Amino acid sequence: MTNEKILTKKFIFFAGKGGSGKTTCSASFALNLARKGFKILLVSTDPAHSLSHIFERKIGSKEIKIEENLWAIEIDPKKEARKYIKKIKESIKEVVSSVIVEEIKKQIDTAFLSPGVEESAIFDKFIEIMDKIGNPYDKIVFDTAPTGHTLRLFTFPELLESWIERLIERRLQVINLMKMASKVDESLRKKIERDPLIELLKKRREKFLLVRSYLQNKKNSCIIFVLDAERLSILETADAISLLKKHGIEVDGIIINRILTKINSKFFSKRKEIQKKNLDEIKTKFKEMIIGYIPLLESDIYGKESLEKIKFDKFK
Amino acid sequence: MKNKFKHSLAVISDFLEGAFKVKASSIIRKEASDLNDDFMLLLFGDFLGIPNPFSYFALEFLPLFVEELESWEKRISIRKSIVAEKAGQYDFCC
Repeated sequence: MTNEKILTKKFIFFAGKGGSGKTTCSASFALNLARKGFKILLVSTDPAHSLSHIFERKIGSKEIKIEENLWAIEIDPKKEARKYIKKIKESIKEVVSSVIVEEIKKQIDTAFLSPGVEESAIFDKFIEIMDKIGNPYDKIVFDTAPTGHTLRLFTFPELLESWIERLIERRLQVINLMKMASKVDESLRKKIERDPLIELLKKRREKFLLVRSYLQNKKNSCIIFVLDAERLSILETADAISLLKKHGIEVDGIIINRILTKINSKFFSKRKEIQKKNLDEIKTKFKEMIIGYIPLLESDIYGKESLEKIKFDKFK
Repeated sequence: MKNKFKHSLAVISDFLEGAFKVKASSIIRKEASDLNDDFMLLLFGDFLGIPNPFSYFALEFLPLFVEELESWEKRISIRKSIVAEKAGQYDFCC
């Protein structure tokens, strides 16, 4: 995949092992595109956010303007979940008496504490961002969480789809039986003519389908893995790529980070030799997937000035 | 002769309806309500202690079920023998 090809995509995901440089790559990629004139939204889906750190300013759960053409957001799962639960409690209040509301509130709060809530909340916000009608951005760049989290995020729509599919099937069975019974009972017929639940379920299914099609049909999106030229990094990346493939999701490119260049110490010459071997392995394993190389720099990367200098399209 | 035949057909049909249709309808309704209980179990199983990895998304549908929720919980927790319940429906002796 060439860099020009990436520029045709609307959603660009940066994934990879913890500490491999996802935030650095996504932030510099977004910044450089914004300076070329594209309207860019940079989204962090990692609960342990680092966009704030790299841009040296507070970025929160609301879209915030970093500079001309560049906006950023850090999804806050706790905040999103709280917002969601509040909305549900309010719509329940409209339906039933306050006594029942109190009773149910307890159950909702228990659900709020159950495992998987943060993950679900992130995914829900993720759908919202991708699904936004009249999206003002040319491109949305995602700085994702370390591999494990991201694999879950990417395979979530498939799981949710099969769950909702089962629900729809069951609900239709109920409705069909009620229809049969209603041949005798007029009042029942009116009740089932338009089932609000089926409509809600189908609306949900559509959203899950949409996200999956964005991830699978690569007309609109591309996934880039960032890795170090290190043994464990190579293995984890290869595993992640093959797992995603099983779910019908292709990884489009990889960027190799922290490459040793000018070396004059004995210790580092040894490291460089090992790295050379690893680089060869990466080249045979990932071949034309490689889209960029980033050298090991003498200083840490943070702030717009250093981000600007990282241009993976300039490397060999 | 033809009219007489038609009339007796109508009588028979009324008799059959009274004898079977109402009963059949109530059986179907019971079946529908059982299926609906199962459906709610898929959605809100975690209220009863059955972990549901999708409970977060299930909450979205809760407002449509709040009125039924209490009676559903009672029904589903006393469900001991599905066989006996079903047999009772068809006037078998148990």
